[in-house]
Amino acid sequence: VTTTDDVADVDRVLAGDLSAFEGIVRRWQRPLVNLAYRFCRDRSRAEDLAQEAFVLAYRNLKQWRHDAAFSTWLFAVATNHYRSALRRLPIPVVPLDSVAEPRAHVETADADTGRAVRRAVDTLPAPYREAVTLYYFQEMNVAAAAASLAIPEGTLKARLSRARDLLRRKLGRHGAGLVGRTTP
Amino acid sequence: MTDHHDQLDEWLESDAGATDIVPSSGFTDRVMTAVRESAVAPPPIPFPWLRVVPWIVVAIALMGFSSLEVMRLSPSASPEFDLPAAWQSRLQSVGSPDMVWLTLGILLSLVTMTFAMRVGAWRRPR
Repeated sequence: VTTTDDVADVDRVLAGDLSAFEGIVRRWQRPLVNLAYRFCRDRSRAEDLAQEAFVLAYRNLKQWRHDAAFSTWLFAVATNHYRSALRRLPIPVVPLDSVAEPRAHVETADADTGRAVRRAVDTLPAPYREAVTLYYFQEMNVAAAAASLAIPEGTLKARLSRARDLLRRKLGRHGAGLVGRTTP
Repeated sequence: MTDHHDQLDEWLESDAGATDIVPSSGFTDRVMTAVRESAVAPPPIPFPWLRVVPWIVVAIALMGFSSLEVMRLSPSASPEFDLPAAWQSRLQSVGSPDMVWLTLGILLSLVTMTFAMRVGAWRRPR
């Protein structure tokens, strides 16, 4: 559905019809805001980042080659912008070791582990965190995630593998019970 | 992608749906306003490579020429600048020649820096 809509809207924008860009914004605002939120973990900042990404995409619309899906190009623009914005003004990351587990109220083990995994991902070095964010959280395939990060697919796979090792080590230390529970 | 799909993969994948941020109601309008502003804004001023490149070439050529000249001269004939006799006697009364040259170098750097800052401030849009 979106592929033809995107192509049509891009063509209209490039022909001078600025209002056609609104269709692109409406279709992709949610994924882009969610992607930004995955990077910065701040709702308000996520919207600001997504807005800047849309403006960047508009300015560089001519650079989209139709050989890749519009969404791949848009995500690459957005990811690149989020990464550089967060390099300039990084999010404060609390080390996993210094975070106290909530004990005041009863929670399910699943919710606890989910939170622990998310926090552990936040503490990963940027290249690994970005790979995990795009591949797992944003549910991109290897090709799309690699294109968004402008790295070869092999590099992305290596980063994912290293990220999983780091996560297993971090979570194993914190008793999340993930180590040694490999299912083939 | 991997040979095995373990518990960690499952947790990471399950988190994909766990967080879903819905953009605020005015988000589309805000983006479109920003896009419209961007459309009417003048394009960014490109870096003036055409003006800068000749000076870079001249600077490189000068540096190359100076290096060659220094290498060509023997150590005994190291370059020395001869000041007029009146200046020399005056400078020698102030202190050692090395100190004088050092002071002159620092002063020249300060003057150049001040001039560059003034030019920068003058060119900055108000």
